[in-house]
Amino acid sequence: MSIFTPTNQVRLTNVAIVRMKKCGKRFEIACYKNKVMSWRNNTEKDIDEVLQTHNVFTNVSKGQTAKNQDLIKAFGVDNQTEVCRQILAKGELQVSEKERSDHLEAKYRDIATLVADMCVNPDTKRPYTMTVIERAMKEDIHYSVNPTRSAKQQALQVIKMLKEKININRAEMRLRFFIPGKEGKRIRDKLRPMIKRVETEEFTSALEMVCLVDPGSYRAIFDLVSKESRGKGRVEVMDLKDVEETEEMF
Amino acid sequence: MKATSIEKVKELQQDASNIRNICILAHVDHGKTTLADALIASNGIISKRMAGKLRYMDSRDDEQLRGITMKSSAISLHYLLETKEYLVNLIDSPGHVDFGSEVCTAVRLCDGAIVVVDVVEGVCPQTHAVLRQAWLEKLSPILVLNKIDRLITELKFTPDEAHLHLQQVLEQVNAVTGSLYSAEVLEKTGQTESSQVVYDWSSGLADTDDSKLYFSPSHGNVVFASAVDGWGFKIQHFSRIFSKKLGIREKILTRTLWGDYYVNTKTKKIMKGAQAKGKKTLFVQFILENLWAIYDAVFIKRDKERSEKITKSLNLNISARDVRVGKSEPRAYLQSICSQWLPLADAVLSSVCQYLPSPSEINGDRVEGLMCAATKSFSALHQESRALKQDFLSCDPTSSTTIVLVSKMVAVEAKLMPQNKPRYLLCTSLLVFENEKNEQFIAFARVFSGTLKVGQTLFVLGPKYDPTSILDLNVSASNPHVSQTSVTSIYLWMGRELESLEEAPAGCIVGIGGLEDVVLNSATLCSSMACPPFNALTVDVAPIIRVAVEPYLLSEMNNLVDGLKLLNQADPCVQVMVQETGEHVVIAAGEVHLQRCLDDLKNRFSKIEIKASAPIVPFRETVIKRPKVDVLNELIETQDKNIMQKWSKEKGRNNGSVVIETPNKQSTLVVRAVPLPTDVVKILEEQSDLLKLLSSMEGLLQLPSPLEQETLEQIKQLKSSLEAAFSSAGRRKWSNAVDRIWSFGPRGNGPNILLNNEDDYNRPSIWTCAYVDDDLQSKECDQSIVSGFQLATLSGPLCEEPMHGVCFVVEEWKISAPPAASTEGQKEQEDRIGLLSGRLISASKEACRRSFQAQPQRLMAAMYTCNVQATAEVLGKVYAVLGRREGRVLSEDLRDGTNSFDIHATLPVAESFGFAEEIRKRTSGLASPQLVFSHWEVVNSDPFWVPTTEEEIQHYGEKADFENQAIKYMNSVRRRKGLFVEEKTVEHAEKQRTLSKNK
Repeated sequence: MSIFTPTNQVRLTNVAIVRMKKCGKRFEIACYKNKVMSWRNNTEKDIDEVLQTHNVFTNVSKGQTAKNQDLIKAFGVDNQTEVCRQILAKGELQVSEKERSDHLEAKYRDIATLVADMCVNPDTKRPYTMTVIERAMKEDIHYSVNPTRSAKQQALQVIKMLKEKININRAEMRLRFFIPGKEGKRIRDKLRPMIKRVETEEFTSALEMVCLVDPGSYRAIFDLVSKESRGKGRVEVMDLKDVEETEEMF
Repeated sequence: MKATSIEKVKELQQDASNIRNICILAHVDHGKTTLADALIASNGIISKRMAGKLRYMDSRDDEQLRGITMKSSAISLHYLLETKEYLVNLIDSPGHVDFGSEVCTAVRLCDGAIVVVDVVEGVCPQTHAVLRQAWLEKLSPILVLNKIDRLITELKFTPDEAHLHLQQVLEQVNAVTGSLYSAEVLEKTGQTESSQVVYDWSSGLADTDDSKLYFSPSHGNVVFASAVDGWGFKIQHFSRIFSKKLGIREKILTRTLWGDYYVNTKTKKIMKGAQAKGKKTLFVQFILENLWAIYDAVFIKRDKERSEKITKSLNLNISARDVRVGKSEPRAYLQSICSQWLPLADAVLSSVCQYLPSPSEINGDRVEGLMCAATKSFSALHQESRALKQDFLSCDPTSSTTIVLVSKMVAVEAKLMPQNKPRYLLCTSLLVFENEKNEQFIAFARVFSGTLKVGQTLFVLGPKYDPTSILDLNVSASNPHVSQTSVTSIYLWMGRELESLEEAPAGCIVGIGGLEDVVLNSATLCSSMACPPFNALTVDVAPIIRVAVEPYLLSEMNNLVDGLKLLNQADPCVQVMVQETGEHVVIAAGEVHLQRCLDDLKNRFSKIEIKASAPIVPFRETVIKRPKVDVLNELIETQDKNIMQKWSKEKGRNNGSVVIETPNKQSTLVVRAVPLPTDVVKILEEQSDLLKLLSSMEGLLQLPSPLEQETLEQIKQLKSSLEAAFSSAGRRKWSNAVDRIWSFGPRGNGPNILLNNEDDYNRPSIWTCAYVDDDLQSKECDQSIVSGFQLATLSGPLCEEPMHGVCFVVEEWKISAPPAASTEGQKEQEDRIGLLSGRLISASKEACRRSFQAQPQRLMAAMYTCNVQATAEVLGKVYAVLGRREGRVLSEDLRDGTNSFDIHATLPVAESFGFAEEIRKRTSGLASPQLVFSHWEVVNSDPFWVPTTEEEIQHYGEKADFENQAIKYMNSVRRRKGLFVEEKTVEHAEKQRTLSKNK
């Protein structure tokens, strides 16, 4: 029967270790959990709330402190606090659970906000609310957030996945073209496949056209017009997204 | 008694003088539905034993569960008074304040009202409201003083005390009626006085007779009752009995049985002044003491012998079962005694039939009130419309003009419809219908003239229909408010059930099928187009509680929208709308009402899982002039010069402008953000449609502008008013500003301005509406600057909400010459322009955002104006609630002729969730707020403020942990959107749980 004796065992609790390898040596500092990220994004300003102790270690769990010579060799200073700051800023650390979940949740919302912002219900031309999108991401497509990819990238991916399940579309962009001269007709034919709907079209001395396009093809359209018309044609964005903006009583 | 057959009802319907249309009105829990139960039991529809427990009219599950009525529902009862037979159409109405609109729809259709008052609670807020409503609709009321049993069993009053108490309650009720009356008289005299030159000193009150208004037992319009025990009486009942016993004339007894009279036993005379002489009044001696004796014997002492003696002396026939259970269930025994001795239904229905008018006795005032709104006079109506008044008055079933008023649409489950009802099966609930259309809408309606027949074709006149326009122009049914429909079915309301009818003569209250596509909430059906639509219901409670609803699964969005449409039709008081954000918002009259709406939506109309939440509150972002004083009201300059210097260093320039370069250093932008004068912002907000037009016109190629002359005129007017607003704000600062406007934003029509202050760039003004193409290069990138500005104003740096009232002044804008472009040829040139324009968009956006941040930033909150009507005693509580929710009281006025105050206040929308409910709870329903969106207001506190000076740290502590309203709002929006919130994951490092998990 083994009896747990607390005296011979010091457990590292509430400790987050930040490591850094420099000049072939390993340096570690002992910090509080959930605090290093706050320090890095500058919300925590009190260093004593971040560091357990201002000592620099070679191995925190064994309690081996780093030698002053090594510090000078690697960092150029022997001021422990200064070295701690450097390690805090650049060292690698295991992100704690809470920090990770906070981060993921923020990202999840960010993605949902972006999707809600970019999309509409094609039947009503009204946007979906963010909370609905958020739930759809969970319930309908079981999306899991990738912490490293940007929110915008992931939002585009989510839209693609949502489209398969529910009635949702990118909000269309309203563009106006001015294409002078006889280029107009030729360019118009080339534009056709990229245009969702033509709203007005006039062809006098120049082609003037207002139409709705998918925002994803804006770049291609813009390039096409400026290339084909040799810089004479213009593309103007009239509306970033074509949505119903008025309130409606039933 | 046998249940009345449908044939009998049909027969009685033919003569309007046999019909009484009445509703039961009262405060919540004063016993309306219980009273209705007793009346229904008298017709044998439910068992007498169950009367008062069943609450037959509460057919909904949640009504039974909560024990309150939530809708008004009708039932037709048959009553025999002496030799004449009557048909009483009874409408039970809800008493809870949330369902005020249901009361309206009930009152609309009736000629008379039974006002029930709980004698223990006395006159309550809703009693006021219903009395007022009955008054406005000009109904004749009778009063039922209910729950007298509670005086005996709960309060243990002696008969004398009870008499005194009853007198007081009656006085309270009469006081309310009196104040309604005097308010109306004052209003009338006020109107006439203003038009007359001769001033009349008498208030007008003395001239008008008001004795008929009041409730008095001797008039026979007061019934004393205990609905739960099933008894009720009028003093006429007793005066009949005692006149025989005492040999006093019935008339005299009726007059003296209520009031300060006593009987002198020696002289056998009735004398006045019982109280002064310490004698028992007649009412106590003859009536209350007898009642008290019964309660004492049967209910309190449970004395079997005495009880039996009483029953014998009263000559009652009590079933053996009731006598047997007398010991263990005294209440049941009591009920069976009392309900035989003083049957409630008789007392109530006889006064209904005697004192309340039949449909044929409808008076001219009421007709005029129905036909035209209070603001318009009857004589202003068209000739033909006025002629219809006669049809109303005669109430003739044979009349050729049919007039029907639909006051609401009721959703009825299809399986309850008579045609779907299995005739010979008892367990209706076991039957499952397949392929049923779940809900059918049936109009709750009253026939005012003529006879409504199945298959008849009528005009449906919407509430906004104006007969004068049609009659004068003689245009037929092209009006959007008129349609034609044929009546597919007519029903008789029988509480939970419906009976089919073939026709409904004038005076009846019926259900009409087949109108769901043409009638939304209320309408007028008429055989002639001349009929004016009945004026809008006087609804006391406007819907104020908003929630956003959404389906649990996004794929069920369409079900939700369909369900919301049905809900909107089924409930006149609910409002449903789609907001700009795409949220579906349900606006209900109160918490209970809201709960009912959501239940209905979930279980009946959409049949999906839904989620309700607080609606998204919008904010705006703006900049203000640098404040001269800090939070502690001290001058900033005098405290700390360093801060000021730091500011100017960061900005790079003294005036707060920001320099931004495109990544390839090809172009440089200098932008400064300035707050716009409030007048200018106001104009821009009002004219947003015109601005939209203006910005869409810009850059069009046609030189003669395609706009109408009128709109051009409007644009010119807008320009001059803007000029005036700018010059009044500061001639020097804003000199020439209007002509230099580059764009409005966001979306080309918002209340933010991009101003061109660059001397070298002589840009054509936005006002020219037509363009002179001189410099393509500059023009191309010009659009990029505007796009960047639009993007920046659409989502500001505080929490990505749109900006409001900010002017971005472009101080400098340079594009350096292309570095060795000429040799590379045309193609290179084109690519360069394409790239540059993209980069310029982001540069311009960045410049706007940075310059915004360089100024003192503020959040703007949407504000409601809030009108609260409150009586003097709860004024303090109203103020407390307003104060806690950051509201600000603007004014407070006493309303003429009443003791209620009108309070005018503003309240941030963000704080309004649950506000109405809180204020009602706090004031026990004596104050009711109304909220209307009014304007945007700058939140005074700085969202980035931290204590810096010593005094501030002393005052607020280092972390400034007092409530900073702006930062609270900002962080909540940021958190919702998943933006970065400056917040530590853990506040105190040492206070974390330190044990490791595996121990």
